[in-house]
Amino acid sequence: MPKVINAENLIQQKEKLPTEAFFVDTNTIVYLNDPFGESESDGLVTELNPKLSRLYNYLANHHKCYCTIEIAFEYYHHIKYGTMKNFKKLRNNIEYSDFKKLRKTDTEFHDIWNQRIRKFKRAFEKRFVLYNSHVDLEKLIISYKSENDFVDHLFYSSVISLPDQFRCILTYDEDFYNYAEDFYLLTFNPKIISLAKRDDKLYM
Amino acid sequence: MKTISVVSLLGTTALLTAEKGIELFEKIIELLKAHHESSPPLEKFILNFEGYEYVSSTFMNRSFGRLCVDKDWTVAKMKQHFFIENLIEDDMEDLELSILNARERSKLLAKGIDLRKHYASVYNY
Repeated sequence: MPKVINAENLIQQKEKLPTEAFFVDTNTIVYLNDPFGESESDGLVTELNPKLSRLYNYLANHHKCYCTIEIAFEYYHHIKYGTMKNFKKLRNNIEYSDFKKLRKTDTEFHDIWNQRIRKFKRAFEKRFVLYNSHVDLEKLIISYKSENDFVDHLFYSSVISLPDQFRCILTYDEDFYNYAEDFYLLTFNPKIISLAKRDDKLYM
Repeated sequence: MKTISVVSLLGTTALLTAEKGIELFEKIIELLKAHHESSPPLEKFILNFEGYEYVSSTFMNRSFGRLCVDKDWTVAKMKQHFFIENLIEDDMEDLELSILNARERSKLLAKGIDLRKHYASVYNY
């Protein structure tokens, strides 16, 4: 079961993580990178975007920051789905299957898609290095339970396969609190922090 | 040419919050008004970001995103009115994306779309 680190306390107390590195989940990258400008009006994104910016810049001075390819893929899908969803609302007679055509032939689509993908690439070129994990794929499939998200399971399995000094996940997703193995869960989510206090699993 | 130090204006090197973004937006509006109303016309002013440590998309959205929606400006049009200096290339690209996003969101709102509901299914991680 994870030990939880309250991200606010970490920054305020100017502490370091108990691990050498940390991994980021999709929601962290989405809230931090904010590819659709949601922080302009959405309460949670507006709240988390500046906090994650501060946290990332603080941690990057002391720790290595990683991600995995399945998270990158999920983030890519998020950008693709969101971009198409917006265009469907703004234009007539657009279907999700028009993605390739729009990308090639529509200047407005191409411009905004291009900018979002440039930011996508920068996330992994400059902030979160893609870690090549060597998770046992057979064990991965056998251990997967249908009530869990498969990408979460893959990501969690990748992190857990690593030595202790890499086992820290930065996420807002409560599902990670239910995983059985020992790792550190770094979060701003008050619900997770409250559960950890209840279970005496709050590291900081 | 008038130069405004963004870090001095906002009193911080961490350009993160919505409040600071709004403060910059209001300053830009004030400067644009002064330039528009003066006779003879003033030269374009400079927003100098020298000394900043980092910037968030919240800050960009609330400052430049909001500015370009209010004025109905593209990125190119905005650059005709003032200069931006000492913003690293990556953050300049984020600034430009914040404008594209703000203009897209404005169009969605004009169609009567509830953006929270609209994005609720997109944010599912």
